[in-house]
Amino acid sequence: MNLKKQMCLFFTGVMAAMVLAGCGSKDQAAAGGAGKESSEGATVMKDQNLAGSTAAISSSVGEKNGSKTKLVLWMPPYGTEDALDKQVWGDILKPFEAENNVEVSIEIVPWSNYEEKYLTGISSGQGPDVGYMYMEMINDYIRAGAITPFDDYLTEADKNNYYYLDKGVIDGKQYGMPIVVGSARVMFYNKAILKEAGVETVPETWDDFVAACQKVKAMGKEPFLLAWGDKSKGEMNSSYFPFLWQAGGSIFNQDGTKAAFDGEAGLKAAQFVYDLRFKYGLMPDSVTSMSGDQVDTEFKSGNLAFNMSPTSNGKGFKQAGIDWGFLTSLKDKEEGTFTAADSLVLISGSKHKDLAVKMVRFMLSGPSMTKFHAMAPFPPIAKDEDYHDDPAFQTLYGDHKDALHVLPAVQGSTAVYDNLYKNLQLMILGQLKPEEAIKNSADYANATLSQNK
Amino acid sequence: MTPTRKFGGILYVLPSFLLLIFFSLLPLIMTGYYSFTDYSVLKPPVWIGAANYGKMLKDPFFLPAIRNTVVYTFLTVPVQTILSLVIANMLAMGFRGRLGGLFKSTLFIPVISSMVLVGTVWKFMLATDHGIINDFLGFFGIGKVNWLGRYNLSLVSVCIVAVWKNMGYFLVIYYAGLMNVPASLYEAAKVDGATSFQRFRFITLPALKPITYLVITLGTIWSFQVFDQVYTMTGGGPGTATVTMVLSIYQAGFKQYQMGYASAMAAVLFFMVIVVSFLQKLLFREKGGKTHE
Repeated sequence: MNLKKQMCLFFTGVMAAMVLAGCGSKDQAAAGGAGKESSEGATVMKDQNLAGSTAAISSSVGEKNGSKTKLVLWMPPYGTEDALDKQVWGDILKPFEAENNVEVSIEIVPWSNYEEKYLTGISSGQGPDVGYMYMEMINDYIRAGAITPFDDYLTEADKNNYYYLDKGVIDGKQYGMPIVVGSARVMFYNKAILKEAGVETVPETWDDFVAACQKVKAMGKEPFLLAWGDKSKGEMNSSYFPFLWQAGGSIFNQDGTKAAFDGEAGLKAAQFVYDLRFKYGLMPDSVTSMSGDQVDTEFKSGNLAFNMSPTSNGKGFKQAGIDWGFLTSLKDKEEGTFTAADSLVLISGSKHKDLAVKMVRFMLSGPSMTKFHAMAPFPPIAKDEDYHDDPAFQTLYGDHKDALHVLPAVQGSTAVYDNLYKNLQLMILGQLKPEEAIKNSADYANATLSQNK
Repeated sequence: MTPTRKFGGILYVLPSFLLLIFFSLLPLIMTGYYSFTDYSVLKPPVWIGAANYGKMLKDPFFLPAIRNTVVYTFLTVPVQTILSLVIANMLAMGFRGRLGGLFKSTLFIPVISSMVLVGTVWKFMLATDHGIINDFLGFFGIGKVNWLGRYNLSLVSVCIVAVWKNMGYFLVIYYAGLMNVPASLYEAAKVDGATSFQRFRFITLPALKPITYLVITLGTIWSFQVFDQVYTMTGGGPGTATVTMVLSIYQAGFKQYQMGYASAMAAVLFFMVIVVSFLQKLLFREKGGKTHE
């Protein structure tokens, strides 16, 4: 056999071996993991397919790096140019690593591909031991058995310490340990513009708000912008859901099997947003292409009177020289606005659950959270941390707690929000009437949520 | 041919064949299978027959996705083909020296630029307020244009960026083709008194027919697959204004955990591309039945 043929045979063999090895490892994982109880006995896998793939996580993640155990942590980006998340979390977890002889591999997952990273990572056996999830995504993973509840690990001391454990309880179990509860969407206002426009009292009701905006508009300044051109459906946390809650409505029914935003309140909220643009002319044509960042930039430049924005932006507005005030929420029937309640979750495939839970507890401890909040200004989540956020918001998370709503953890909600957002965008474009937008969205939602019955 | 030679031949193609099977054919078959299942990736697929295809008919956003993809294709492919041909012809005829090289390099820069970067920069440039394009138009007394926020205009804006990005690639292909057209043909035509337009019409265009077939076929396939540009510039919005088929597939599969439904949409896209490619092949078939490829 000449050299060419030998080379050809060699490469063919290598390729075939690679392909077979790829198939083989999956088969092995599936065979080994299906239906088995995890090594630490917390959960029996409900789903054989997932058990197979998560077993692969165990085999890869559980490998010892020398004498050190390796844990994988996936977190979202909250860092700025001054303090990058990976560095901050690395510093926070250093004592934990030394104390427990652990190497924590930290990966910061960009928001832009957050959902697919978890989806592909966990389903392919390359997921983390501990992840960070927001409410819209958590239920799909619970239903698939990909997340293990913390109930067996929680002590009385934990229960007494954490403020918001209830926000991580889904289907009666503690599936999430809230780490970021805050970033409430409040109505910032520019004091100088309101004074110049002769708005003497800060508006409380929708009617007051429209009247104040009209005065600002008459003065030639921009009264109010909503980022209806933002690519993220999360924009509804500022642009629609607060008005829905203020009108006394809710997004889904109690058991998450049907849309509730198609009631009187939902329609009233949509009509209000529609009227701000088309009836009162308070929002310009450009809102249909504006992102949240662009709206914030307008507020920072001192051209915008009102801005629905997360409390975490208050610091930036101050640095831009804006003399701002805020109100928690406007009021129709009641007060209501969005607040984030994102949680750390324990991935079922983790081979080191005890250690992973220990890491979660360490991350949520007062000293760790103090360092985290120096980078990302959020209110404390437990009694063992002092308040470090802007003092202006301290009363918000105390006295106005009842006005703060989190998104319900409902399976399939991501698809429903996507659809609702597109329909509401069409409404703001003038392509649909409010009742059409709400009806179309509700029809889709009811068809999607019927799977939860 | 001896059996040893025959076996040797098979060995030579086997690596590529294996790659093709495992990375193209198998995923294609799996996509076909998943399109008949309820599959979230997190749970095992459950056979549901043609329900995903039925769902597509009722999906209020799937038809706009098809419409936008087709409109995008009809807007970008002819424009980028004509522009790249005309500019390549101008460069080949008038700028063969260093200046021509500089023009070609400049026009090729968008091709090698990251689409995410390109999309983001264009988004800033097309911003209604403080966007450089609106600021420029303002000098001529033209009011602010909401490039990415109007229902019909936003797709046109995306198409403009696509043409700007792709043109350099096709220009280089056309330029290479023009270099192969014998100069004697032009000289003979000149002697016969043909105008420059006639030389272009009766020499250049027929000589470049195989390349035009390639450019149109590639352009069409790329257009049907448009994703990253729309994803970075508009996210498919506002509303359904710029949603495309691949973006819908991505959103259904990775954002909404409906991989079965996404597979069904991918299957429809696959058949659409096959049909369009077949039609193009028919269109470019010569009288003798031979297709330029």
